[in-house]
Amino acid sequence: MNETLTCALVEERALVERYVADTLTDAHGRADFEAHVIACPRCQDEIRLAMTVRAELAPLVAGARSARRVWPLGLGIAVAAGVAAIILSRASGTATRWQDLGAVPVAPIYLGVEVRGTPVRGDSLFALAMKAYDDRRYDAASAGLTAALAAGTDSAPAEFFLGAALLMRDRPAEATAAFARVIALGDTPYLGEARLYRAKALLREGGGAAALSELHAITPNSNAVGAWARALADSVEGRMQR
Amino acid sequence: MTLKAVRTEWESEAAAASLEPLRPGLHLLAVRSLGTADAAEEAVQETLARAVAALARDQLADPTKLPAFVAGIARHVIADMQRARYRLVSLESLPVAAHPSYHPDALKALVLAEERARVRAALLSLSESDRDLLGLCYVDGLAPTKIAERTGEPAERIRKRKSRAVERLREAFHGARAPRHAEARLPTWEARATGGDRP
Repeated sequence: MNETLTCALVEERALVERYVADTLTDAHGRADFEAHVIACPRCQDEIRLAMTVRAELAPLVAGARSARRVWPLGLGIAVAAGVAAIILSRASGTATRWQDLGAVPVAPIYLGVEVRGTPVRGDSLFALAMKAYDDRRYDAASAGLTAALAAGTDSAPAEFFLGAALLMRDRPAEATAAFARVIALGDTPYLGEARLYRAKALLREGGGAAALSELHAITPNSNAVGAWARALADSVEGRMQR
Repeated sequence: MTLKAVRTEWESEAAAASLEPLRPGLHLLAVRSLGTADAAEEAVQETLARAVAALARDQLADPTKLPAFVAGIARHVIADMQRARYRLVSLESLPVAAHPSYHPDALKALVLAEERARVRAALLSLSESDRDLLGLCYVDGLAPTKIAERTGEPAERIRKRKSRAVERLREAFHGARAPRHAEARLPTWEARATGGDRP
């Protein structure tokens, strides 16, 4: 875009808020905003304030939103729904029982992959698809990644993010299959997370035992992924014993 | 030392001095992207070094574009550092909120604990509807026009409500001290470009 911004324009377009919420993309002038910010102490201060507000506000807003989703229906309905949910979850291994543990509120972030020696056509399709993924257009991302795979792009990242995009579209069965293909590739940088997110997809489908098996297959010392997998496995096991 | 070498050194020092006012802003962007003060400092140093070299080669045609020029270098430096550190980061491994922007280390590196505490108290003193509005702005990243479309409330009214609420938070955030921008000197190239007026 290459536009010279002023503080007034920054405020009018809510650029600070969009920047800290990460909804300000390159297409919407992120580079222009950053060029303004590095020379503007006022906007730097506004970013620090916005980051603080967001960090402090997120739990308050999340709590208020989830409370509102329940209470307007009335206490009687809520109690009835709760009882029904308990009966359903105890009666079988349905998806309902594991839905919360299988939730993926935010897609795994994409920060680029290493450039290989000779690019193939699929690489440009992959780049386009990942642009859609970064923009949270998961329909376009999954279609683009499927095309990139067909055109010969590196399959580990493409299959992994295809699985992630399908998960974000609430298509757990297809996501499970995509993550399984990443796992079948063996020791790639995506292996641990592929197992973790496959477990999530399996939980969404109601497969508590299968998810647990996948989580146990994650190498215990594999940093944050390992820690998260252990925590999720504990939750699944705890629920199974109830 | 030859006259040419002396002149080159003097020009490099002048270039470095002209870039110095950009350091705090670069640091902010880098901390936010990289999460730690150490990594950010490394990114800032690398950015400034590349910028000095580029200026020495006369790669900047329009001096008024210096911030954009340096910001562009910083984006490349930060992206390179991110690629070197991670191929993939799971957001779910983070304990707070949902994004690396809010990595606790980044916030700690940029904001004092007492500033956070004051903002927290100010948020709790706001009405629930104002907190909801701020949530749409800062958590969901929506502009007032988008919020207006979603809620049916006029955009101008949303702007005013937001402005009032943010002003209370700003006062709490700054506490007794004046906002930093009031104390800051105008960068020299900016003064030249704008005649001293803030952009």
